[in-house]
Amino acid sequence: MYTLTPLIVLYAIIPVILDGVERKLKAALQSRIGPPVAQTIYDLLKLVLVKEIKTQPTILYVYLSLTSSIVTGLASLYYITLYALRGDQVDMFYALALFAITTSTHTVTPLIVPNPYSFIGGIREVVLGVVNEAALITSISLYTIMAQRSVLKSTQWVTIIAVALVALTAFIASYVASSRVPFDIAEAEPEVASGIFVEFSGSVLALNIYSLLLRRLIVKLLVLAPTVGLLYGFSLTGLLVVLLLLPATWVTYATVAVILGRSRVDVAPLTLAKIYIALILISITVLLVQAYA
Amino acid sequence: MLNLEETTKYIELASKSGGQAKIEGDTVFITIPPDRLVDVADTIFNKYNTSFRVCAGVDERPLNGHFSLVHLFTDDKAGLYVAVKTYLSGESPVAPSITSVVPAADWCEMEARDLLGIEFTGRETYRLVLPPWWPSNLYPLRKETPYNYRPEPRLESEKLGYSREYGVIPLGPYHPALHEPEYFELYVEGERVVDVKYRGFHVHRGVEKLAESRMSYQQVNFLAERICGICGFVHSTCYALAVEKAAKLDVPERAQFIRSIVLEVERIHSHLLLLGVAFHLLGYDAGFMHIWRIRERVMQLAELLTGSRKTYGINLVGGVRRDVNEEKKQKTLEALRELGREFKNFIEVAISVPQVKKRLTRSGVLPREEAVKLSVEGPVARASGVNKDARRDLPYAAYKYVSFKVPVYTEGDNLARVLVRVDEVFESISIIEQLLDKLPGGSILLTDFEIPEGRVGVQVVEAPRGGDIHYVVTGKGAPYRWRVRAPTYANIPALRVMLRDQPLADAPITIASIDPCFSCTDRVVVVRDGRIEEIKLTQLVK
Repeated sequence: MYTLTPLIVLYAIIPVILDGVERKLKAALQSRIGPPVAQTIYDLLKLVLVKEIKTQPTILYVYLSLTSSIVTGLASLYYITLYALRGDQVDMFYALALFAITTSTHTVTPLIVPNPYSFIGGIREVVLGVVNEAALITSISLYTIMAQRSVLKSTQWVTIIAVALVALTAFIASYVASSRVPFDIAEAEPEVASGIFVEFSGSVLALNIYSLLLRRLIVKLLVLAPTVGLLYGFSLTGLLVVLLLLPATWVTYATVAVILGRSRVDVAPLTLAKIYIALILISITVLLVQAYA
Repeated sequence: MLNLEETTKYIELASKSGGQAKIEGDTVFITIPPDRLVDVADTIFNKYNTSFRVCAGVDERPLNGHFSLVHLFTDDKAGLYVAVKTYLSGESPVAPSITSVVPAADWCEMEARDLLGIEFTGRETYRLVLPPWWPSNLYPLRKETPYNYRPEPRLESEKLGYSREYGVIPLGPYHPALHEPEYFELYVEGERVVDVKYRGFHVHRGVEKLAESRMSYQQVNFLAERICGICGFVHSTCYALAVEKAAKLDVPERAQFIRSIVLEVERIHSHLLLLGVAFHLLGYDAGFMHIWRIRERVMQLAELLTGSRKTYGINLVGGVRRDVNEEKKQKTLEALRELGREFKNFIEVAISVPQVKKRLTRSGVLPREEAVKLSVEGPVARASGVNKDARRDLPYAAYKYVSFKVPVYTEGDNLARVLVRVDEVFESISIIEQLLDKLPGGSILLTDFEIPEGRVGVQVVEAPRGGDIHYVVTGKGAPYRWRVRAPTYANIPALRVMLRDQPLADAPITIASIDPCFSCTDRVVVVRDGRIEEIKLTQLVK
């Protein structure tokens, strides 16, 4: 059994550094110099150290909600790592269950802040989450099941198509779950005055931002782990490959976000639902056809 | 273009209405009794299909014992200005409202009521410009009110109209989507806007009073330029042209060419700024950054031509203060070529981004009939199929020497307003190139002239946001009355139509699509413990 504690510590730091890389990359694509890579660390430190102004009586619940989101997120990362090492589906299901708690707590946080902007942002997050989290959990579950079957050795093209479709669904859902453009409708600064962040300051804002960045890390590892398992197998080497692919995936997601604009709450969930239903139905049909053939 | 034959109908109208008319240059001055005002306004606006620009109250009591009210129209097809004047009682001025036949007169009537105490019959009245605590019998633009008189403020908030039926989303006065203070109260059902109320004029700077009270004709140019941080040169040009028109000054042609060149540089700058803001509001920050990078070239160009990146300060009554030499001309042409190429390459990509295109299309629609009724200006009007542009219809400065296309779209949505501006950037580049090519020789400033008292000059200059209008009554060494109406003043009332039944998410881009320009504010609504609280300025300071 490998000791995973140092890795969990590394996981806790990675999203903050990669966010700095993302900001630098965005700046380069927008012909700007941009902030230093460590800027996100500086930002979070400043927020933690700044004098706390408690604007809301519900602030304690917000702290609790965000802290539980971060703790369950780190626990989810632990199980994803185990899955990448051992390939045991149960580990992935634990990871997904914990991630569901992470997402739920993060999503409900703005709803407990009595502010119209936070409420609107929160409702938008819930609407998008209902569609996307279902697709994310379903597609990754299917992907996990398929990744165990050594499908690449299969000569049946239907199998490869089914896996490719599920993988595509999982990657789309993971991108959406990362709350980047065009799916950052909850934080949409213009229409809802900085969205769910409007009432937060100091350490609670730092927690909120950190919780978001941690979610971004989790959703990438959730799709990378089965992908690498499928291609390289589940081992320590596989885990290292996952960690090596992580910055590349992060940068890819960031690049996609740069070239797109923001969607709307009445457009994005509906469009996503149609895409997900189509992709998952086709995948399941293909699998069923194969099973009964 | 000016068509003097068209003046006949206005002279006949004045005569039939028991008034009189005279023509001076491109302006028909009609004077009628107050009781005929509504009929005359109805005929001019609805029958002759003119544009209503603004109305101006004037305190003429020191001159003739009366107040007067001037309604300014433009007959864009005939290239004519039409000024309809009525004299009102010097003791208790009352005028009939023309809003029943010219809805666009709503704000200017209320402004005349606030600032001059002219009452209007036949309409609901409300306070528009002055804050709620302002004494009810103190009218800042009356001549007896000193420009530096400050009534003691009573620090109190005002309620706009909170709804129990619908959700209320306060948008402003300070808000990330609004780059200047303004307050929109959006009433929403779910994420759909059902109604909107607007409160502006939080800090009325009183530039008109200042100019009339303690500035000289030439100083007012620089004050006018500070009315707006984006289209300031439009204001100083419009003011200078109005005074020159009133005084019948023959300004050197080279100066008029330079004015037109700088006006177009300012237009390109303004449009690029707005396009960047629009992309930012749509979450397309790459578009925002790249457009503003291109905009930097325009600011460098302005610095080359005027010595300043913004607020150029080269206008004077009688001409301009800075010439364009051959070296500047060549550098300008080179910069324009590069600018045009870069803008073309980028804008094609930017407006093809799926989310940008989808959210701009069929959002914030202003139908043509509403645009005409509200006499909206500039790209807002042209995007709704109203084909008007003062550069072509009421040519001033050097625009009569160049050919250009006036882009008109019929969709009336946010995309159409963006596309009008995109097309205008290319047209402006072409106009500057033509003007530089035809730049005549000679002096750039008229130095020896007099401005007689009691003359009137009306001028429209097509700002990036639409027609800017300045009305000047000349006085001794300074304007006796100076009325300024920026284009946003005419465009804001249309937002109510544009925002209704729209998704909340599209409200900021719809507001931005008129390229609004506002002033400062000193009040705020605070939402605390789930309840809307009022907060006083003194509390905020503590």
